[in-house]
Amino acid sequence: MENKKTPSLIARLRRQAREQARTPLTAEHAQTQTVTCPNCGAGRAKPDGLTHCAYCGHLFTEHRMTDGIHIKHHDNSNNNNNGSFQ
Amino acid sequence: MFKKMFKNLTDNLMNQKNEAGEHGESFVDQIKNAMAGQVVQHHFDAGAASVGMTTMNTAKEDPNDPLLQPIHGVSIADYAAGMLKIGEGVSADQIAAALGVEGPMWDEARTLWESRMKEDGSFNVINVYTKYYGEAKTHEKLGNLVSDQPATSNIPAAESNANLQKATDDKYFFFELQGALQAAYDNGMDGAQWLVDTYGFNVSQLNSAGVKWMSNMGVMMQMIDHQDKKQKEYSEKFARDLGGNIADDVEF
Amino acid sequence: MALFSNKNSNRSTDTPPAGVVNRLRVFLDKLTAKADELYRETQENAQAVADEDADPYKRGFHQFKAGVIGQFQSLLRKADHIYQTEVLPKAGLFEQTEASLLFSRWHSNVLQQLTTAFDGVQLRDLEKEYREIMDDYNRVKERFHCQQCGGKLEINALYYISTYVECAHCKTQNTFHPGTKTRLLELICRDLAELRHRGLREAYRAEREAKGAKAALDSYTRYLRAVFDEMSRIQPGMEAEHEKFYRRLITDYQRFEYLQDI
Repeated sequence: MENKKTPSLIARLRRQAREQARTPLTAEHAQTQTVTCPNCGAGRAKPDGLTHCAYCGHLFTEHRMTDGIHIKHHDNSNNNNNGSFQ
Repeated sequence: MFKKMFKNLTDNLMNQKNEAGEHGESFVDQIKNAMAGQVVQHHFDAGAASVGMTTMNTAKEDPNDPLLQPIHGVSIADYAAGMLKIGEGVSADQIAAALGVEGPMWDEARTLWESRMKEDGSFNVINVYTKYYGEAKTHEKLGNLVSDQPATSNIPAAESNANLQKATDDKYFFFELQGALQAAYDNGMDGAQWLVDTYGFNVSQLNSAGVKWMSNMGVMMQMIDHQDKKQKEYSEKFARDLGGNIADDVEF
Repeated sequence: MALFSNKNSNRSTDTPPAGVVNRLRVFLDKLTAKADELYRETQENAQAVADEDADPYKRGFHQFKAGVIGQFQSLLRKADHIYQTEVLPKAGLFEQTEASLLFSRWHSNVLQQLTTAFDGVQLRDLEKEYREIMDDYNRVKERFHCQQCGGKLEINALYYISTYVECAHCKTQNTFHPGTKTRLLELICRDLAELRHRGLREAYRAEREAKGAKAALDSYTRYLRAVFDEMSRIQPGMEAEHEKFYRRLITDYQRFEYLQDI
């Protein structure tokens, strides 16, 4: 008689877990984007690094890139090229 | 004991992004357990130092420490505050924009800061991280950042804000909620979701509201009994909701 | 009534109330039946709960597990409460010894059930998840074109976090964001690597058990080396970081695990 309660308890715990409403996790799909220079409208090209616009020297980020996983310190723009690339 | 405590803290902090409500000891419980034997703060710091570890109070910020150099311009203070904000539901894009870095820079910084914590056997990095995590509200660029996503709770914003403020100001309420969370999990509920549904904020928001309580071991020790008492009360209620505990019908 | 009782103690040292040990035995037997049932049903259901949980963090399973552990704990608490408040104060000295043995044996049995109820449950099918992540990635990465010139974007490496990918045609930097699924690679990396080398882990554990931590350093190193090399294959680009973490774990082993030998 007593044993009847146990199965229903496990069943209830299982149902409670299955039916738990949760704040949904938002799944993002893979995508690409490009950065356009707000100053001259050019797409960002790398030959002169990632931190400045290769065409007009506009500063995309004030921060220096360090040696990371895929990004390396040589991805920083050469600051001497500001505005003089063209 | 120190090793276990640090391991727990390390795992807890490093896995925050992965846990997403996963059941485990609450942050408070981990610290409580670490205090088994009633270790007081200075004994605790001294004990940790004797095995070459640092605690939040002995964490060192040597400007020349290679393990504390910014990654793509993201300092450990930026990273810690960013992680707290992610827990609160702020997106990585928002954080990167507020810091003035691009998505890939933030992504790499986040992964690599986590790696530095893993490689540092002295626990200094994680302790500096913990210090800034606790001070995230005062971070110049991230402190006031709120999620740009619509709230997912049915609790009106004004009410959830008031609840959160109460957890910040009232230590009894804060530790009551910690007890309630544990009681919810003990009764097969998703405690994190219960908190959102009942009070309108999540576990990370609660923990950041209570940082000042949890970083003070005197308060922690003072509040242990209160938390246990509340946990018991909530557990009785949640058990009733579940239909009782397994041996309720067994009498002595 | 109090004729034979020891007035200096609130415990009776003569004949205890009839059969307090027997009553404890009957009571614990009933709880054992509950615990056995809970244990058996948990083992019957746990794998299915894990399998049916589609949440990437397996929150449903963790919720279920916490609930089951909570029930075991409620059994332990109930028995402890009765033992402390109903048995010990009413037991004579001999009965106390007997009750204590009875209770501690029961307690350790239930504790054993609590800690092993979920043994053998495979929370996630990591190989399957890995295959799905990689299949999805390899399919999706062929789909992208440069946002600037429309040329096909060559994504030649495994990017599990966002990064810059240069267009081979116009040199424009495209920012590539892997989807949520690919990002899960970071989450499963270490567990998957450990799974793939569980044979070495067993060998290490056996040696550690037989000879102690210090003597098992070589087999621990072999196991860990294999795991970390595997992690670098799963997450290329992280080799240097994995290596530093590996060195830290070896140092930790020598610092802390050796102490267990003493």
